[in-house]
Amino acid sequence: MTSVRIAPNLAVASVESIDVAPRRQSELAAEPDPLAFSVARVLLVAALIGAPLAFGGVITGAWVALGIVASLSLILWATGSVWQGRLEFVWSPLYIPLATFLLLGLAQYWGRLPLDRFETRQALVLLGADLSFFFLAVHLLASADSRTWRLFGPTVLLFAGSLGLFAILQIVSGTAQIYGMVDTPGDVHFGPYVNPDHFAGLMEMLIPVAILYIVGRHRRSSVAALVSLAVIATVALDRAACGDGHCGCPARVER
Amino acid sequence: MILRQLDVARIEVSLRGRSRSLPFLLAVGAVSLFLAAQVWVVGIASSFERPSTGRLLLALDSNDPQLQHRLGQVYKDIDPAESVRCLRRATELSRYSRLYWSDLASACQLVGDTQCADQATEHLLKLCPMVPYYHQLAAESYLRKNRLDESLAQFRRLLVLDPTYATDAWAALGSVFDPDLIFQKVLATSVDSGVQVGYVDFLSAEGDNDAAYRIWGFVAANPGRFSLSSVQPYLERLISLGRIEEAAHVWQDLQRLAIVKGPDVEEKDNLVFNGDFEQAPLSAGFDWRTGPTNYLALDFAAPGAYHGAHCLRVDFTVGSNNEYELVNQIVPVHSNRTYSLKAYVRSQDITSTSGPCLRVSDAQQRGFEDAISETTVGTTEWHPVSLSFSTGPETESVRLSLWRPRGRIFPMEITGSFWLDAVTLECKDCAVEK
Repeated sequence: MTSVRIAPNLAVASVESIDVAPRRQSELAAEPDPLAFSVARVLLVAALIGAPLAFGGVITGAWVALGIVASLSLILWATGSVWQGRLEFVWSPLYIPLATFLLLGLAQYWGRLPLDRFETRQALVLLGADLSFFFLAVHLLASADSRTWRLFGPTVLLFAGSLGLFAILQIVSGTAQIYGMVDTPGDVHFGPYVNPDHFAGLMEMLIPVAILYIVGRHRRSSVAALVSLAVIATVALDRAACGDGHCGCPARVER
Repeated sequence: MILRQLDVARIEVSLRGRSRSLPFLLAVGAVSLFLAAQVWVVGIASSFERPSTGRLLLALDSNDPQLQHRLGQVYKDIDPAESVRCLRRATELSRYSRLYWSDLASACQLVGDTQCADQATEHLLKLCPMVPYYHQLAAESYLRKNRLDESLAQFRRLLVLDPTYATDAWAALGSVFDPDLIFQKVLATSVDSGVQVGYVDFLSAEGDNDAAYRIWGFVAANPGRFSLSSVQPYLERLISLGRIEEAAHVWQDLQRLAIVKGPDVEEKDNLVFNGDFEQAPLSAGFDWRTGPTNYLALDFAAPGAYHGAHCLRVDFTVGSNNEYELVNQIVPVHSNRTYSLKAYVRSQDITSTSGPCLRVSDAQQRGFEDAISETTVGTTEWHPVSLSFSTGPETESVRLSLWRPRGRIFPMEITGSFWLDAVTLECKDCAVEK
């Protein structure tokens, strides 16, 4: 068993992975990615792009599909690891609060403490799906080669740009329905989201990635990181009272 | 050290050999399948559309309140009685879900089981004492059972929690109580003055203007504060209905309560409000209102006044030959009396032969011929313009306006600037009667 520290921040490291972890790159060059990893990555990105388009994943069909994609991707990741002959476990300190939160929920559920046990079960199931996405994102993107990273930045940039453009055109055209066919309560939708706050939450996550990608291309990641942090901090303060816009769990917020 | 713990690290474990890879694959596979199965079951349980699907799932877990609740919703249109049974079972299995109790109350209401609906509503109130809608349900439920005091208490609480329920509350209460009693029992003490004014407007909109004016008397006597915008619909309705005397009293009350700022210097006998343009017009009640302002600019706080600090300035910025009613004001008057209107005006480069002038007409019907002052054209210094008129036998208010008729002699298009100040309207023969 070996342990290799790769970077203080995964996102920054990923943009500059060639510089930060040359040993890792040489390993990747020598050893092609198992097909299962590639398929899992495609599924993961498809789910993360599809969830906002499916009204932010608030409708039952959407979050069920997300949960199943998460499960399938987990199996693919495990299969890929077996094919590769080694398990590369990427440790993130964020696992600690997430796992604590999940364990707290499970303890409450098993201890019959919640006021509404079955609502708690549903929330736990969705939290489980969200945690799976987080785990998969960390593992599948950390082990991705430089070509995948080169594609990731433009993909996020293109997605954020087109979604923003679509949302603006939809509101400017005065369409009262999402995609011109889905009515929303209160008619306050923005883009594919019933709640405009949630759309803002999604952009809050996508914009820093896009900024890091653009600035990282010019090898000025420290400035990029600062700008990104400033954006996140500003928007997060603004959004603090408005709820979460995470594409994987707004079902809990909206329902 | 702490920073090192915050780093992202990679740990590698060899999976060569079946003894390692198989347990790993089985463990991850089991977790994934468990997650997929749970998501599937929870998803189906909260979205199935056919009772048969629900029955099938109930066979797996008959004690799942979500399933019972969904089944109750599915049966709602097919079999209301079965819907009530399922929803009741859901509330038994999960006594703290407001969603289940709320749907049970609605379902019971649908089948006409008022006792069940009332019990569900009472339970909802215990669960969620801060949700206004449940207070509304409880208040209406008590009203049906003739438990009037409890109903009034619930309506009072409802209006404190969320005044947007006021119209529904008054409509429900109006079927049982008379307006004065509703005001005394529900609104007089605990509810803010804005809601009380809303009740006056509600009564007026329903056509009960006598009761509305009576209640207005109570509201105006209270020390509570409210905004002009909350009274404005009522005031405008009174003016449009020709209830000028009541409107004038409301306007006086608003000035007394300092909601409308009266003139700093009391001008005895001048009936025009804000005739010196010393404050911004409210476009409401008996203050100045603005007409369409195409191709011109109005400044109600222009310097260089004839009297005081401000005057009205009109700039005809683009040449046109339109008829304009630049500003107007409704003024309460007496019938069969003679009035005299006087104002000071000045002009600069007014091009048309048809310049601005003052006009007085009957606000309700044509009780007398319109009175029109001389026009002002070209460039002039401050000078007085005046007119006099006699009101008709049914005249209660007049419409005083700054008016520009269409020009009929070349040059017809009007450009230039015009100033108006110190507008006064006095009754000539009222003093004799006094």
